[in-house]
Amino acid sequence: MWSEICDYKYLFMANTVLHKAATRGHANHGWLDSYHSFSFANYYNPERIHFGALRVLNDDTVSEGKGFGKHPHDNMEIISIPLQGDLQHEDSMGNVAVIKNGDIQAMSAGTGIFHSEFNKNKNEPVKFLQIWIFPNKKNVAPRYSQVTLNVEDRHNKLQQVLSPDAGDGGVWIHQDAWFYLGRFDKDFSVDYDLNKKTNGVYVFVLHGDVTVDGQSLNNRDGFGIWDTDKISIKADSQDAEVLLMEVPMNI
Amino acid sequence: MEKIQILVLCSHEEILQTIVRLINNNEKWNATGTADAERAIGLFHQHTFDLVLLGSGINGKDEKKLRRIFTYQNPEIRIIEHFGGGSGLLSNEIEAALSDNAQGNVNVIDDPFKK
Repeated sequence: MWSEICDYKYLFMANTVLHKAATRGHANHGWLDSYHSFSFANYYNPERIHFGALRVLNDDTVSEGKGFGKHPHDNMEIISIPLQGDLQHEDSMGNVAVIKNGDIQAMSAGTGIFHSEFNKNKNEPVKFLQIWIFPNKKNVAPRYSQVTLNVEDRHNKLQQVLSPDAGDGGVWIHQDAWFYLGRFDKDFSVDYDLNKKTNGVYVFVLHGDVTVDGQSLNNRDGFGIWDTDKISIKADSQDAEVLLMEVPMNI
Repeated sequence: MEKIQILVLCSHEEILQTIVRLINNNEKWNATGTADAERAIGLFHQHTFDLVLLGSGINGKDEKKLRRIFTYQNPEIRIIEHFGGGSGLLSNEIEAALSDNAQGNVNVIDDPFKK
């Protein structure tokens, strides 16, 4: 029988792309130490422009009291995930907020906004991820939102932190994208079912070692998978932390 | 050496000024900016541009019209959309477009919203 000689998984092989942490773009401006998973500013690699709708993944450390002065954005969904310290945000819509580990911030730049981001603290650096997603709708009204999540709710599970639905868990954006955070005990494993078949998943390791669909990953490695409807994740070290970003591949 | 001439259209005046300033920080590039679609068409008729960069606030109807007019006048013209409003993507987008021009390639991210 055909089904006996042909394994389903070999007929529908997923595509993958691996970005080891050490191969990322890097810029150290003194006050800002930034690693770029995709081409950004002076880092230009034509092989690493975007992963579907995911255009920017910057791993930033900002020195005490320093930050990004007032600057504009438009037509981009901008997500900030603080990892350590306090990040102060101010924007042209009148929002003033401080976000810290456990918070997720999303901003739809739409027709255009100006904002600034500073390390609120004078005694420790702030570390955060800045993620930019191409929107599925241009020139929307600018919008700001943030949520505080219970970090215990991601222990040995995938905690949804972003979706396209305002009524769903986490923040929402103008794109068919879903983000999840997880912190796992060693040897814990979990399967992730994609929300949409045409999407891909970019896994970014925040801490420790994991294996994703047979690919070993270490701290700050990135691994993109598409043409699949499910991925498996296994923690290879205690307190391994991952960020899953499911995004449309056709933009 | 002749500078690369870039026409920038963006309806948000402050962002337009930022984009033009950032482009002109590169000594190899020269930006001409306008917030008005009709004025952009006029500028395109009067001057020779290597690249057109479309920023925020341009509605779909105007964008189609501009693309049609620009391409009719200069079939080789490269038209790209800029995302992020004068952000860290600006240089990348221009470099990629110029590189593609040199290679005769089509940039797959020149219009991320096309179906």
